Amino acid sequence: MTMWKLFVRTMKVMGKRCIIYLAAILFMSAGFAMFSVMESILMKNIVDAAQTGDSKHMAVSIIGNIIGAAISLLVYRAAAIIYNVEAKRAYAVLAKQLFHHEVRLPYTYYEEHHSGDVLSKIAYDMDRTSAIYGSRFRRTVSPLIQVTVFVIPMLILSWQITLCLVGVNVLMLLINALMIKPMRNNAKQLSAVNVKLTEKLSNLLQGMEQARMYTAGKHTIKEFEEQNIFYEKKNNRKILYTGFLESCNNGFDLLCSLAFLMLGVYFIQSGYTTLGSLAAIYSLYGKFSSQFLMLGMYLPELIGCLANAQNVFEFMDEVEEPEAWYGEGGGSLEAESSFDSPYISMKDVTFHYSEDKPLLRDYNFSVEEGESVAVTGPSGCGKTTLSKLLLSLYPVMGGDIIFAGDSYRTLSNKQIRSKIAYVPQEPYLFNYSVKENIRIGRTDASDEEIVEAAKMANAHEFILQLENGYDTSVGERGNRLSGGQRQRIAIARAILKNAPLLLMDEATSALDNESEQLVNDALKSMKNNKTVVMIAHRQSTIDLADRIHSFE
Amino acid sequence: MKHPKHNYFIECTFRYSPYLIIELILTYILASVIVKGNAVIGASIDTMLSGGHVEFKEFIRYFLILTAVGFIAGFFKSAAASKFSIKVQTLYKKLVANKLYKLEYRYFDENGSATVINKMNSDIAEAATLLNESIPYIGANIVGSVVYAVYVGQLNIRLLILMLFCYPALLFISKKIREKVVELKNIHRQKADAIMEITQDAMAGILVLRSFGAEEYFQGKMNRVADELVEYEEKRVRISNTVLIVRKFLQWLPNIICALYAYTLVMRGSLSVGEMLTFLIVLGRFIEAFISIPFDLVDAREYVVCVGRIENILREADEPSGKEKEGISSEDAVSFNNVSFEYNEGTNVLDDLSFHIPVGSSAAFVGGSGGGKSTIFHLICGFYRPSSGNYSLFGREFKEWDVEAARAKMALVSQNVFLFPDTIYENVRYGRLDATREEIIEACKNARIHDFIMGLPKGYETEVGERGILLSGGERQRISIARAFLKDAPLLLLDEPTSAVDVPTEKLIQEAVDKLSKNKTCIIIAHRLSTVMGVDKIMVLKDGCIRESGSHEELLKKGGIYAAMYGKEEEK
Repeated sequence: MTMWKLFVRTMKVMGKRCIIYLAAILFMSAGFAMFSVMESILMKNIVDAAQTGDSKHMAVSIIGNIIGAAISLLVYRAAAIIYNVEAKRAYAVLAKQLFHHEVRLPYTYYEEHHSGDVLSKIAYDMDRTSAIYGSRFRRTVSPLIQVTVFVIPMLILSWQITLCLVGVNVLMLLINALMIKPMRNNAKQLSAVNVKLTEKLSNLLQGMEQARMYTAGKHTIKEFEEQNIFYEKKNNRKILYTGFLESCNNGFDLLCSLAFLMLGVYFIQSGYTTLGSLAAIYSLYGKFSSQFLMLGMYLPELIGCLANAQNVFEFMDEVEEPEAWYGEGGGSLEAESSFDSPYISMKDVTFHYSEDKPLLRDYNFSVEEGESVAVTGPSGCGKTTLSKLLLSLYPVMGGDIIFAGDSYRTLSNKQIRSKIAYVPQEPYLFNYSVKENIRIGRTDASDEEIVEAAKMANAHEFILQLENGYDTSVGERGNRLSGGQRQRIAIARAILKNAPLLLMDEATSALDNESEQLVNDALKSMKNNKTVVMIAHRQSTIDLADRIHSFE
Repeated sequence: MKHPKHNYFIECTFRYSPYLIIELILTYILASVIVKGNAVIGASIDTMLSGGHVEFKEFIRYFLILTAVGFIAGFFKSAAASKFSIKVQTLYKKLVANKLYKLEYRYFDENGSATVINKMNSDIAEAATLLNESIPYIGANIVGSVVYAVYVGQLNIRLLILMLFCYPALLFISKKIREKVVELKNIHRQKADAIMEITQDAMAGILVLRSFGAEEYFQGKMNRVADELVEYEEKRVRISNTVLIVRKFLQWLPNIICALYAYTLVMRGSLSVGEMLTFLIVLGRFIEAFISIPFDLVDAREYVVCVGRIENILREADEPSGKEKEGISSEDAVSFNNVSFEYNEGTNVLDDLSFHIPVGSSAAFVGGSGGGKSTIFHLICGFYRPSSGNYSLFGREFKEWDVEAARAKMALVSQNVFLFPDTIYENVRYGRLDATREEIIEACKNARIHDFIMGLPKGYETEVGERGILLSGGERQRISIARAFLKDAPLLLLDEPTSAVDVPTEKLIQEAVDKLSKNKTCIIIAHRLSTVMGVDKIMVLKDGCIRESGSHEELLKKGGIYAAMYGKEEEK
């Protein structure tokens, strides 16, 4: 993407509000600059009055100036508020869109990318993108607006002097621009040496034992000292550059004063301008000059942030999980098989994560309605994959899964998942209250239904004993609860969903005996009116099943 | 020995203070030039207003001189400031690096080397900012303010008093206002964090979220937080912008007051119009310099805290060291007499330990983890000193030894091999810096790593990568053995050389170790008893005491702890 397209896309996030946003920047910058103009005009009025001795006019015009300045500031404030709110709104829109996308990626994406890494990277990119709305873009265009606002009154006051001063400024800007490249190169070199210095220190500490037992330590110190001196030498060039720039700034400052004096005195003598105008121009000139030198200064930063925005947009362009893996989905009524076939059946299913490691080939597995089946087998054989295929987290590569007469190939992922209540091995709880965690099972459930589900899951008792009962926050990843408690809440969640199939992935594998008993009791009461598939390790859980399906 | 009163930073600063003084003098010259220039403008305006004729030629020459002085002074002022900063930095960094090398080992137990590194690196950067920016800026602004103030005082003392009264009052108000804005900013940050938290939570629990089809439910939560953020932003910017414009307006007031007062002075005739103009211009300069002083001071205070942390490290005690560089002829290479040691007071890791290892013999320490094996090595290497009892190396008490000379007598192959981010060649060379290429290759051959190295695309010039991550544990182990070969020290210390490697590698390492320990005194810490079967004297450590000692056969016969351990290992 070119920078311009990227910029346009960044702005498009705001939709029509973009116009409000841009107008706010205009008024904000102009208002701010107008205040400075008023400051200078006030100075002019006082000086003119001092020269002419006219104090009556002065009072009126000074009050006028103060009112003008106040209005400028109020305009600035109104625009700044709109600007900041719009910028934040843009960030919020982007954050919402991003979240919408983040939870809809194909499941394989989460498995392949370490979620922490992706998140922290994207969070950083988001931060920098929001900085475009919040500051970078404004900083880039604001000097231009302000310079324009300053230069107009200056030209009116005395175009001759103004042109001379602008001329000197252009020269200064050119010198600055010329210096940017060598200075940046030098800075790069310096930071490279600095990284080395830091690295040496780190080595010295990390390899402390070796450093002291062998000559490595002394050697590292020697290298450090060499680099340190090298850094000092490299820095000499920087001293030269910054010294040159500073001397130019000081010199031109004086030179401008010279031009100012000569022309000013000349023009006053010739009657082109007044002493007050001269004072006003001089004070405006200082502000003009500082903004003028900022022209283009923030452009590299803006471009840098746009590169981060690009990462965000690229992430947003990642393909999401489709509504259905095969074709349209949605149609569910063409029952392919007759009703006497099993309730759920996997027919000749083939699946693997990578070509060279076949996992399932022409695999068959079926469950009758109301039946409880325990799936057993050694770890790593694909049991968990089985549950993920049932949940349609991946498409099968060959064969089909039939659920109550419907082929997975005709169902949408949403439809499939609505039929299954899943209890994963690691019962993840979100950092909300107990009640909300259970409610995830069915978001429109009433509080009574939630309590009912918790009772069935043997969780009601302990929940009531918590500090705030059902409103107790479970902490990050549910860490305020024990493993058994978490698991029972996960089961309550599954019960609340009231789906035809209960699918459990080693639900008791990480529990102590007592919790296991409680969980198993909950399971017992459920299996009577549900079809249950449980992937199981523990004998006590396996014993609950009507049938054992061992997995090879 | 600690040095509590010493301030190394101030010492370094003081040493290069001439540069700083030059900077300040040049600042003074520059400010004076500006004042002079403006005074000339004022004077010529007065001449003109009183109907006189302004002599341009005279002024052009005068101004050209001033400009030239400005150019030159500007350059050297900047150069002196930079020079000052870099000189101090260089010296200070050198002190720090040398300190890290000599710092007592114990320091890192208390602080953790990773934390030390992180803190140190950022602290050094902050110290640099203090030198680069804060100190020169503060100095220059103070000098500038004084020069401008003196000039105004010469013009009219009442103007000066008014000026000096207005601005401090203003600064006080500004400070109060600023605190309020910072507070608002913190709340804002918390709200932004909430977005991140929801995302993290949802991503970590994606399996649950997806299987329950709860996407919309979570989106609802996210939308609410995002909208709240916007709402809060509105509240925040309403306040912060009000604060901003009020401050802006207040800052303007002193200017108006001073200008109006100057005007009344002109009306009364105690100030000329030209002088008034000069005053207004110099006033602008004064404000600029004066107002930034407190802000610079606030920044500086933060940096000084960082420097303080470095100072604390510099004040820490060095490793103690004696002066003797050679041993006394003695039968024993290492002897411990009633040595006790504790890392933290009250928990003895070694308890009244005595043993003697004759020159040329081999010895091994075995026993479960936490028995004190590694601690013995730490004491032998002099990383820690015994809490009581004494330890002699080659017949001389360790405290008399020059630490570096003592360590030159030892070659340590430790459990966690640290390879420096450099080539393999360099890493081996650290064993002995003056070794020839042939000697290095010979050492690698002996360490059974030569063939492996030659198999790498860049051979000996292969970079080992940060922390040696590109090489396996066994390969790193053998590189460190090669290093030990090269060092060719009389005392060899091997810390679990074959733990955590596979069987073929273990064999390679065992071969290398056997070769290395020939004609040397060799002390081994071992997990696997297979490593120590040929050793002259095996000592079984438990809870910081030697429970059994003797050769493999003797210990088996005895049927004690060792025999039991051996039986268990055989079973596997």
